[in-house]
Amino acid sequence: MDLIQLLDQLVQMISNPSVDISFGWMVLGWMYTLGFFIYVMFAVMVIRQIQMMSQTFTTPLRGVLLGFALGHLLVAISIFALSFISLI
Amino acid sequence: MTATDKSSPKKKDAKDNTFRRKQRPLEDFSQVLRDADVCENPLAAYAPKPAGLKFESQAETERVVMLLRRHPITNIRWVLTAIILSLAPQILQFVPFLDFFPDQYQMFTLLGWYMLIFAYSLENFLSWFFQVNIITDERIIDIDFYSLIFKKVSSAKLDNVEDITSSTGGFLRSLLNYGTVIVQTAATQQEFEFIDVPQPDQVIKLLNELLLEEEQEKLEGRAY
Repeated sequence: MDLIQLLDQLVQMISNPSVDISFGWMVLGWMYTLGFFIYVMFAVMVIRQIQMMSQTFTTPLRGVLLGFALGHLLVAISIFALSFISLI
Repeated sequence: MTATDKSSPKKKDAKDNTFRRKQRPLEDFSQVLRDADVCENPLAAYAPKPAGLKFESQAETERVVMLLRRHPITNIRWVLTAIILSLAPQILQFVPFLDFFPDQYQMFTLLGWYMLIFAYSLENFLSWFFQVNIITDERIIDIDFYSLIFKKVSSAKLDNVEDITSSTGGFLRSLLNYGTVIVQTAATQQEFEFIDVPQPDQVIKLLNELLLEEEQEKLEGRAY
């Protein structure tokens, strides 16, 4: 199925709920999961960012920020896993 | 005393002090630092004598005199934006916006929305926190943090400072006493800007005191 057919099915799904929309929701589920995966990468980059800047100058708040960023990464991974299980 | 005896104390001093710079306590020559206590708040925007601060290229005998960030009020824009965006789902629930989505998709949409707001807030906070200006008794350092993976560190020796200017304009800046300090140098980067820092007049005063101390060190032969 090419992109135009896919988009056409998505538009039909939105405008006419009686149409079989399972494929459309599956695609949407994949998009959500991909988005959460990109967010996990962002969370990893935040940790790297804090590490890099802490090498430039060290502050007493470094440990707190790193812990916070790690917690943030864990939450991001959990939500990604949950979306993978629930939506796909 | 013999010639040898006369020369041995000098030789001993030369061995001990050749590469050791004779430094005066900071409070001896700086009224700004004399009037200020050690700053232990890691989130302070104006931090004279910051506790526990070290930076990458800091020399062994180099002392950090002040840490500066943008005034906290400069964060009000993204804070308000984040608050308004957080309240958006509560307001939009009166509008049938995503009712055609199944429940689990609505939940993940909401989760994704709040995650985006959190990412926006976190990035803005880190940008504010890590963009600092450091003044030591030897140099001024400007650390700029442009994106997740790009940083720029500029430094100039106090000897190269040629001109210091401060500007405070506008109602909020006058009310909260923050402004921009521009330092002209003879270094590779000719202009250092301390943007929206608190108490710019005190920053200028401190820089002038440090410059005078540098001159004094050269005259007295205490410099490298």
